[in-house]
Amino acid sequence: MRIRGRPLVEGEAEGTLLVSREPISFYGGVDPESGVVVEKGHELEGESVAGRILVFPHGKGSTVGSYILLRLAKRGLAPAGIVNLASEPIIIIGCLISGIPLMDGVDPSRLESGWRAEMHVGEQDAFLDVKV
Amino acid sequence: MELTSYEEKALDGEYGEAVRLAMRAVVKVGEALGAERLVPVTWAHVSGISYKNIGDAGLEFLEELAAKGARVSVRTTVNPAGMDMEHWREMGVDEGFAEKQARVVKALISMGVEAALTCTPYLYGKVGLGEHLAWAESNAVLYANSILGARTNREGGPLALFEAIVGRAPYVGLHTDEGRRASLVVDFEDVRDLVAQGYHQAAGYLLGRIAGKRVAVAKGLPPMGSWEAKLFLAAVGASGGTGLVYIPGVSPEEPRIVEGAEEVPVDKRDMEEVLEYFNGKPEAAALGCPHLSSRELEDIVSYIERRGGARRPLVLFTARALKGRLGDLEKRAEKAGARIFYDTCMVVSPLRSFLGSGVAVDSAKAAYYLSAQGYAVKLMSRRELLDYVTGGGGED
Repeated sequence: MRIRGRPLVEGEAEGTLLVSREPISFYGGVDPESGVVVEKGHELEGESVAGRILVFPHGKGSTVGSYILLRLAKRGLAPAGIVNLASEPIIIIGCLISGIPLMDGVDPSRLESGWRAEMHVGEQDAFLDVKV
Repeated sequence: MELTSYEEKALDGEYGEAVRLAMRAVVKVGEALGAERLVPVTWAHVSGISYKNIGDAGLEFLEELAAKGARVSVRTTVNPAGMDMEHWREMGVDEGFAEKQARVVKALISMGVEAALTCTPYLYGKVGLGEHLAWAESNAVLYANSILGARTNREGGPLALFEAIVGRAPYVGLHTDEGRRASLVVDFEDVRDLVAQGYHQAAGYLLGRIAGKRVAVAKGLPPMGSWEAKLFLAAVGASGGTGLVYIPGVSPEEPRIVEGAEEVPVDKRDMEEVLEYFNGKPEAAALGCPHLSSRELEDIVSYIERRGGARRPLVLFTARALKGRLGDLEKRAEKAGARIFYDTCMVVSPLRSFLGSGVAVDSAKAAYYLSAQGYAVKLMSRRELLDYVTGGGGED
């Protein structure tokens, strides 16, 4: 299944999907030392974002979240790629300075954690090839 | 997006790697938000300065950007740091932290930034009606839009720095007439007297929670001074995502309200719930979220002097710019038992290590962020707080 979206930060990624119906705050919500979601009561609490293609509606919380993405990337703990419903500046800037491919315009409810996927974000096009 | 020839050249790397990266970031964000063009800004204000918040990743990012030759192209100020840059030892800050915080500030200065280290840039420069800014820091954004009639979105830390470098922001949201229309009216008529007793911060906290990201009109509030507006708007920014609240009689712009805007009344019970929620047991008190003006400092110190001085620990936070402009006020404060710190604030400094973990505040923004850090917080009016600090006996 090929899902098309809007290209925001170019790159290629391959990995297992980690899907959240809830927004994610990287600052305070994800441990920068381990890549594990630590926000209490979050549906991804206890899951590691490292190497996954992370799917969520949009970011929330402090704009320091951009630096947390960079910190994860420097430790090899960043998501392989990010897919949003509607990206906002925290995630866009975070992906841009960390080299994480980013696309939006994709409804997370169409996807499920555990599916394998390949992600392509070019200058003009972006898609996610999901192997169900 | 439509770009000018300068913007195109910047994107192509004609002005170097740092400008290319910055322009790319601003354009990407603009495209994502649906902006048709960029708008020149006159003043950028960058948040995400405290080493406690940005950590090594932020420090390295700023140093790498500086090493690429990045320079800001418009006046650029920055938010508070994680410590008083001179008296950090008295805050219980360790050498390692102090060294890294100093490196953050040094990297910023090397890019041409003013190390204002304050969340109240609006007290240190003139901003005209309709002027376009690129400010991060929610309380400053709300003050600029709502009290000064300037135009800025809540730009976010690293984005504001990129906007400072290129001198542009996406022309979208609160920069545009359409984006400044209100879709919500919050009515404080029933609690006007309660607010007037010094609970502007509770009113703001409620408004932020109701508004979310919507531009709002705050109806029925009592007349307020600029320090009360600061507390009101800072609270809005902590509990909500909006960047503009019209306050009739205070805001310079007439609000344009969209048809079918929601109207929400606030009652006494709503106000009491906020105050009951922040009802921890204090051991000390802190003022200066947002940073105190020189006028506020004068009023606070005079009040505690009249009451015979502080009997409980009190710290006051303000901007470095006031250092040396306070005359004998700093000495008077110390004599009256209050300590003034510069460059930092209660939210981003290690308050626990020099003041304790139970703290009285008059700011709902501070109450919100300190609670999240595990402090026992008591939210009071400023008057109540100063009476608590100067009171004898064991009340409370």
